[in-house]
Amino acid sequence: MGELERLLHAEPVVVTAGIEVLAAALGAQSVAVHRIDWRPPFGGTEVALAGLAASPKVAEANEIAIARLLEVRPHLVDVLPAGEVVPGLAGRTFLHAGPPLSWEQASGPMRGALIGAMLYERLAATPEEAASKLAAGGVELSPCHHHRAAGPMAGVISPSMPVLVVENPATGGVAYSTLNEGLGKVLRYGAYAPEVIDRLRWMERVLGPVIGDALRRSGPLDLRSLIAQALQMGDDGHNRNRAGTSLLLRAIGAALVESDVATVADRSAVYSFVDSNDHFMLNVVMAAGKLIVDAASGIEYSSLVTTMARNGTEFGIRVSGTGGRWFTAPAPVVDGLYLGSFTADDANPDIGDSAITETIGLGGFAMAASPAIVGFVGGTAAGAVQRTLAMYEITMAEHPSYQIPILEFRGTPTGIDATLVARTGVLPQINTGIAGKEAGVGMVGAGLVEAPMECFADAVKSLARRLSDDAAA
Amino acid sequence: MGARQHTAGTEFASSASVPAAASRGVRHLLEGPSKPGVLLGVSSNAAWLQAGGHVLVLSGRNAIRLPNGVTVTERVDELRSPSGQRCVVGDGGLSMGGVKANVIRWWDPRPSLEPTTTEALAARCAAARPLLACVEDGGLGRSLKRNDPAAVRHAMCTLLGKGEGLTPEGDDVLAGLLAGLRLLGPAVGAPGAGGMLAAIAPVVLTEAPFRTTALSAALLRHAVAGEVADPVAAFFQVLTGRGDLGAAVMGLYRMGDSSGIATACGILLAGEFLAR
Amino acid sequence: MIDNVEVRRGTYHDSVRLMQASRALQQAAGVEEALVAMATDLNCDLLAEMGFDPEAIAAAGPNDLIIAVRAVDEPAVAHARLILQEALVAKAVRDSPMLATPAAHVIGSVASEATLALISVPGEHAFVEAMDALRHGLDVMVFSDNVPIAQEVQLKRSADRLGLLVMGPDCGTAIVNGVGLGFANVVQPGPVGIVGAAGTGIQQLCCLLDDAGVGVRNALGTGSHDLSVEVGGLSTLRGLEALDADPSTEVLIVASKPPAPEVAERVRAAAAECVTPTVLAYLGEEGVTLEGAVGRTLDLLGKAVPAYASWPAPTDGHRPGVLRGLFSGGSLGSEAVGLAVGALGEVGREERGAGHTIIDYGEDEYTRGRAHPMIDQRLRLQRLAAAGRDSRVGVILLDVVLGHGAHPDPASELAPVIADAAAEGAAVVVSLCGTNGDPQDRDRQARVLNEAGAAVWLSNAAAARHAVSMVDEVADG
Repeated sequence: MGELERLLHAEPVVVTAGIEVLAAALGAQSVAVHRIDWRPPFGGTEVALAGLAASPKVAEANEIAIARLLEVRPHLVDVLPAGEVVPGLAGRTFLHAGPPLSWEQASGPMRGALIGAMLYERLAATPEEAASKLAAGGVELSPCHHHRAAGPMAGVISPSMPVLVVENPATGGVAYSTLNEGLGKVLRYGAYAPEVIDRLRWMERVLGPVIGDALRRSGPLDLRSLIAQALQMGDDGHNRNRAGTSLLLRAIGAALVESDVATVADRSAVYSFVDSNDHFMLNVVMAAGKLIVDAASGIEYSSLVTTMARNGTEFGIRVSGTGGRWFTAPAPVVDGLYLGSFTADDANPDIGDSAITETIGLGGFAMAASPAIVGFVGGTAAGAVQRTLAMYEITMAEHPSYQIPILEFRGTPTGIDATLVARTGVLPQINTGIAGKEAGVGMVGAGLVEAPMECFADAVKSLARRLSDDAAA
Repeated sequence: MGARQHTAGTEFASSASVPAAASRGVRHLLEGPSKPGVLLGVSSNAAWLQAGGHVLVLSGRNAIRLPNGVTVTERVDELRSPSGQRCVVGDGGLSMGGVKANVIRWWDPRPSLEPTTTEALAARCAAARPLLACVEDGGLGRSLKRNDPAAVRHAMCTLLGKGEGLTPEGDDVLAGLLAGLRLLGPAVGAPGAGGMLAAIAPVVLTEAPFRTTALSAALLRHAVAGEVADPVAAFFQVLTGRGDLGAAVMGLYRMGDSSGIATACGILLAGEFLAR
Repeated sequence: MIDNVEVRRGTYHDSVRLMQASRALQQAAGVEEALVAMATDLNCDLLAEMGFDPEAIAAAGPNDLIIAVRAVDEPAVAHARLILQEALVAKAVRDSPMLATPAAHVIGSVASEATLALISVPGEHAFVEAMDALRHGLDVMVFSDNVPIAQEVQLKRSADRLGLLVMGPDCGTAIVNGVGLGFANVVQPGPVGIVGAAGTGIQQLCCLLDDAGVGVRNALGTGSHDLSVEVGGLSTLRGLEALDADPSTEVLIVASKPPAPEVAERVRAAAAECVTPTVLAYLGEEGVTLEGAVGRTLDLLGKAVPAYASWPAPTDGHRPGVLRGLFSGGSLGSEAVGLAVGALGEVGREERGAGHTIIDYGEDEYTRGRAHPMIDQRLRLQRLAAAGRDSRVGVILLDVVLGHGAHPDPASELAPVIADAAAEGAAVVVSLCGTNGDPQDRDRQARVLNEAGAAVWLSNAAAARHAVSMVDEVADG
């Protein structure tokens, strides 16, 4: 356009922030006005926000980071033993969900899952022995996120467990997640009864090899496309994965029939196991998510949130421009509906790497696509739409593939910007399950939780410090 | 917003006046004494009304500004009260169904254009033509090329009122041609377009009331005065060297139906005539 | 006939939308056949049946979008592309309460629907919002004051790079394309363009031009610090350049309080370069008044300079004494000081002074914790009453600023206090900055003030001269 052509000649449409009299004066002139409900940023972030706003580097870095996040096309290619593929899992190392954690800090379900893994790996004969070995530091604990992996709830991965292998054919990048065990008494909720361990052994012996073989036969499965279709069938990719699980099973169905690595009875059992577990797809989405966020990590000065994860004690986030550093706060308690006679008193603070789905524009961010779960997490259909709409304000992009039918196929809000969280006070909405706080109890409910503001405020301040230090250097 | 829609009727019935902006092209009607008007038609976000021998368009939120337009920031269906049909134009605004749109701001529907050369105008017309997919012009272009006012008049009469809707496509082409001659003529140092405008405008103004809709006839009158809708004004700016062609063409598409495109096709005829 | 086949990798749209897009293309002028679909086997076969070259989509898979168009010529293909672009864009829905967008908290959230941001949040936060607006392609007016000068420089440099304009910080008044922003009078669009670092200065220019029947389409405020050494007139120069290039602007006025000398020179040089005749008014320079600037503007337009509206005081006797200026508009106050100093010698700018004083109640020290005196008149009313009771005061001069954003009916509050002051024997002179289009109705305001005993002038300079002359009479007599 010519010099200031629009300003001088077009009918103005004005966005106002601040004094109402000035907005009203525009209304009185029959000018279209969008009033911002402006509020001061989260206390203590003012200087940092101004510093970040001043630098074109932040905006440039964010453009790169969000482009990387959006361009990843994860493909599910195989299932293999964790010890063979997950980096750094050799020897006596167990991976867990969320930010770094010691046995002393670990919550009930996390301790239960670690004990279960000790029994499963035959490193202890009894739960008591397992606990004392863990307390003595007999096993090294490390976050899944440090090992290209993500795990739901306790997220414990030990070397013998089979893991989903998700690849980025464009870059050769790879990420992993365990296979979902189903509901009820399961390791990820801290259960370690014999039936739990038996199931894990069956998964190692039958489920993993059969699914792996089927995937090798069917060829890589394009997860971006599969997730996009699942959203249009009512999934959110976090708390509802019924459509995605069905699509997955459909995609590998023929290969499952053809497979010769197991008996017909075993393959039938595999089919039934996946079919009866609506959450089977969750772990697949999480592995895809890990591949996606890793691609967007490490972009200097970017305020893109690349990790949101909880270990049952702390909630932690990581930001693309601040390296591997975790910004943590006490994990909040989930607000939701409880199963049976359980109450909020039975609930463990928020736990699991599954908030990776929200980090890539799914879960709570795609809730408008999933009216079916609102009953499950204690809300209304209208509220679900409103939650998704609120997330557009703190994200950098609308996902080109994940589309929401009721919003006229608008893309899901994707790529959380930590500075926008601090400026708006709008917190990322996470759809999640609730673990019982006693080890071994399992799932006690499901609901919604907000990421704690302190994590984002600290990340913003740290990023601003990096920027000003580098400018000074 | 839902709540707002429910209460809108009572809200406006009690306040009975909303601020409005209007084109200077209809200022004489709006600022003159009150005269009764006839509501020609309404949609959810526009109302067409006839008064003082002219047609005005009241349009609401996000509407495109027309040369005979009055705009408010509400939606038009929020404004109308059930009592309906009576409307009045004048005394600083227009009233409909008990609500007065009070004009407190005026815009100029006539774009000011930078002088340019015939060569540059020809080049810009040539660049724009492929993007517009112009339809058959009833021999108008040929007659203009021959600089034959009688043939142009004849072609114009066949186009007048041709097409469907409130502003038939043929009229849009004519409006584009007339506004084009009026505005681009002076820009290339040929005010009156070498007499062509004077030779052809009167027949359109005389015939329009009998051959086309009242709204379309009103818009043709504005076109002769060089008064056009905003996206059309932007297209004129592009032809005289200001702004981006692609953006201007998208703006024409967004005007709805084929109105903006047909008008632009008429403007190109004028541009090509002046640049021949 | 031309076949054009495009493959967009990894672009998913649902089949209904794609069907609608296909239909829109098929109906486009000059298009013979069209298919927009995901490259499934079925659709690939369909495309082959339609006679398109299968080679073109050989590499496409079911997750890729194919766009195939057969049209009469290249232009028709280009035209079809434009139509497709529209057809595939999600249309925002807002008419259902469930789908209503929640209130936004930052400018970036609604920037795509706007062209301009008007920011009046506390000064320490204005920068972040303004940068946000610029990054989203909006022009910006920052009404907020107390924005650090380094941030102002950064905002304006960014705007320059992006081809946008930042008006402010501390920009009280602007008119863009006939729309008043901040404090602004209602004027007709017309041939005059204004660039100004002086809020009420711009308002006075608009009001005088309006009285002369001349309209203003654009008056770009630049903020009170724009002509400082640090900022270097970035917005003034940019506004000047834009208005100079604008064919609808016939005469330009640049108005400001006295700038830093080197910046003044730079602006003077830029004004001299303008193709459009440009009137430069640095208030405070010898003999420079807003009225004078308007006079030169009218000359350039070939219009006669009118006798600006005035309403003489009903009585002219008053007690002897000093001049008390009680201003709400900074530029108006400065102009009055300039004129008074010439005639009276020393004029104090602080309330304590015993001699002649002219105070700007819009200054920070008087607005802390309360609204601007153009909105909240209480402090000025109190000072006006005090001046009326003070027997040392002979003449009281005050401004009343009308227009959008200002007090809805200032005369109703001022009149009784003016009447009291007049009854005490003080002469009251009002500089009334307004137009008859203003919501407060200038003539009605003037009548009420006049009936209370004030002499009312539309021209601030005329009001100041009148007030000063009355002080002179006393001194002489």
